[in-house]
Amino acid sequence: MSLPARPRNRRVLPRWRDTRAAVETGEMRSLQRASADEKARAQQAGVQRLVTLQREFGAKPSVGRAAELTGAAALMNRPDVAEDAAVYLLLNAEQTTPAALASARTLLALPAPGEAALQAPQGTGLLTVQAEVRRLRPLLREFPHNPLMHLDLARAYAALGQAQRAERHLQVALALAPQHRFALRTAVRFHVHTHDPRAAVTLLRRSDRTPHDPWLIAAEISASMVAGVAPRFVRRARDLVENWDLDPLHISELAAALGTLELKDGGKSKRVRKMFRQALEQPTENAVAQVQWVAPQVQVPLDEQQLKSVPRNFEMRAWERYSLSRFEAARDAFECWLQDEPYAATPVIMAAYLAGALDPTPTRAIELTRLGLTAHPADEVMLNNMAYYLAIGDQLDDAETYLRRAQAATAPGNVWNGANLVATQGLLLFRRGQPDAGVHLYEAAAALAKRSALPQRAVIAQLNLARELIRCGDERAPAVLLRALEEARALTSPDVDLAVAHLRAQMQRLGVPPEVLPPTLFR
Amino acid sequence: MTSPPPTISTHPALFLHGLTLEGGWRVTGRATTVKGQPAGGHQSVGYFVERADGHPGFLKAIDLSGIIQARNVMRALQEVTEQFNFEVSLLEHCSDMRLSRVVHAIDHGEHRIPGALIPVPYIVFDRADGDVRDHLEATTVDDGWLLRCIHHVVVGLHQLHTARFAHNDVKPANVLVFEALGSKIGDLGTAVDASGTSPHGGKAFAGSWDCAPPEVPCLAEQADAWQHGRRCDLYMLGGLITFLFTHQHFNTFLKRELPEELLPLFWGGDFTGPFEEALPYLLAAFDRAAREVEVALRPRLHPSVAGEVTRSIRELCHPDPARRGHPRNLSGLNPLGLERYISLYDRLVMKAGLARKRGSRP
Repeated sequence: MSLPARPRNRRVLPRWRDTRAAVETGEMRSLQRASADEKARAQQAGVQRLVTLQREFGAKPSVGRAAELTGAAALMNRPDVAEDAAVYLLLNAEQTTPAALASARTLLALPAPGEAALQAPQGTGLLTVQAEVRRLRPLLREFPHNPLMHLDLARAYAALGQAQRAERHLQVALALAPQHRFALRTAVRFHVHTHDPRAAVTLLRRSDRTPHDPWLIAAEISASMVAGVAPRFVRRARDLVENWDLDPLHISELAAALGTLELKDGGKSKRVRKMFRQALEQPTENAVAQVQWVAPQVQVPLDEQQLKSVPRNFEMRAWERYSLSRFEAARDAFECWLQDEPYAATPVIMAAYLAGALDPTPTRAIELTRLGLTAHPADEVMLNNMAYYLAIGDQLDDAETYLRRAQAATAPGNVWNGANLVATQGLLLFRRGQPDAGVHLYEAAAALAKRSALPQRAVIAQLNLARELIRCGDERAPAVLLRALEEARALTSPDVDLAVAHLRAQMQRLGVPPEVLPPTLFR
Repeated sequence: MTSPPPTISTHPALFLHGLTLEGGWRVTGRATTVKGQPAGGHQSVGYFVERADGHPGFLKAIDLSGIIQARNVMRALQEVTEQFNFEVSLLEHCSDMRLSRVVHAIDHGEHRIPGALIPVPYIVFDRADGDVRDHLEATTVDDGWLLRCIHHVVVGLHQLHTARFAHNDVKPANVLVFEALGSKIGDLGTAVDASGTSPHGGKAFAGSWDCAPPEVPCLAEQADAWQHGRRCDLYMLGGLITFLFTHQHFNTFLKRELPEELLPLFWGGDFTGPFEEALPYLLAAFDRAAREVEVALRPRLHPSVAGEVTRSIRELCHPDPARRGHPRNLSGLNPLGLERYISLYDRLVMKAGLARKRGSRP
């Protein structure tokens, strides 16, 4: 059977997004904000220039003057002053260029002729990431001084499991922009991803910028926690959080990281709560996800209205929807999260897990797991899940290979995956036409899960066993199904809900009449 | 409260039409050009003039009437005097050095209108047949002409740099077209000199900010005003080349590719962080913008020419000031040298001419 991602010790590690997406979150914002005076001065200087251009165009209209005015107005965000010039360009379309006409249309808020439909959202999968590499490499050859493009290419390589190449591009990016917040935070995420959190900590401690930038201090605290070393800037972080009078977004992750640290060190709950509350003042999605993760221990109310404006809030939404058993919606959110972090294990496991349960065929689940395994080739959960999806798709030899790899990768005593491996073995035997041996292994898996205090996994094993028995028309099926559903009713778990929903859909696909199935399956 | 309408006694610079100035120049008409601040500062007014021997000229009259409204009249007077004197001395210097691609001043002086308290200082220039903006209609101007115009501008800038001045305001309005002589650079009012004695030497940037390189709106600190001025000239030259072929300045392309979060104040955003913080995003945006420019250039230029023009724009408009200029110059003694661009555009003019003769597009 397949396995969802297991909630781990979550830390407020920096996200490593596509650079364009990262801008949306506010991470790239400057710590200083323009004052009203500065804005007014800049506006006045702009107005003066625009008045001159307007006067020149009005006195002697020409394509050149109209183009200059529309260009300047577009630059300064003042479309109102260049409407006449934009109309003049459109009336003299044959005398000017498509670029100037496009700018004129934008100024007048006119649609572009023959405008293509909105692009479908970018897919996730191995091919998409490979295509991204193919897109970026020639661009970088042409313009090698672009640090952000090096970071994007490094991210794609990390998703493809090519850590050395990723590191090389990361180093180039850091050489081009050594004190840049986004480059430094990206490097931190990379080092944690490659299980070298100490390198992340060293990098941050060496940077002159870290003590002055709350985003970097947050990363230092979190990376230190992962590395198991004492964070260096805790006092400075407290100072910043307590005395910050600028944009609260900048200290959101810092407050969340400090709160997590205090919680881990057994700090006073009042103080911890204060930190998380501060993190939510104008939160990043990472801080929101952290608050959601600590919620069982620290009650900090999440304001739904406020959360609406948090960009790229995929992780929190995904888990929230999953916990409410809104599986289709959760699947969308996990896929979005995966798009954000294609190298990360949790979103890919969950997106594939939901695809495996909700889709009629395991094709998408296999595709996603293949992507995940490229970045994490020895992840025992992904290997087991891959074996499961392949077996469901009747690709038995491949499934066998992955199952062997999963067994080799699973540490002895890993009960979380241990029961699953036995169940998946049972599934394989069923599909190879050995139902008795399959039943035996499924029951062993359920017993192992029960012994390991994983009752949901035990129920899911029984539900899967029932499905296989129904598939091969075995007379033991009704009894097993009834028993599994009885046990499922006693549990409130989205994993179990999903397994029941999956079974229901499977029965429908197999053409089993609903009247022969227990009514509890449809409740 | 509305200010009273200007009269000949209060604003004499606005009423020169029909007069004959003390230097013997007859004012035959008013040009459209009015520059500067109407209130609290000074503005200049353009006129067409003719000498007794029929030689035509363009008169730039300084209107000092607005200065009276300035908060600090003495400071404003000092500034305008310094600027005027600097421009006159710079123009004389250019004439002495025979800078062929810089508009020359023929005369300068002051005119007093009887009854008016304020004198009108003026400079008379060679009269051009308009600026380059009046010659951009796609169906009437061929690309060989535009390439020649760029060549003239590069030569003009190189002459100025060799004379140790940076123009600081290279934009379409300041490229003047002479039917017989080709194009020349005009308006040296915001130039800075290498010795740092020019009135604008202390300012971050005195030219038009919409044409300025991104380090200017990002308020990057400049250690060396002279080198900064030259780097600005290079960027604005790249912007001008982009404008001539696409009718959009490079900054318009660049801004379109820059995330809103990182737009500086003058570009309608509110980013006020250090330039170094914005630079990586500027580089990424620049890369995309340069490709957009390349696409926009393709229909206008022959493929053999388009590639080299695009490359020159990429080099001149590089957002990192330290990487701006011809790559072969960057590690040399004169990283901001323009000689290679003079050769390039001279060659491109010939290439375009040959392509035309062969019957294909330029």
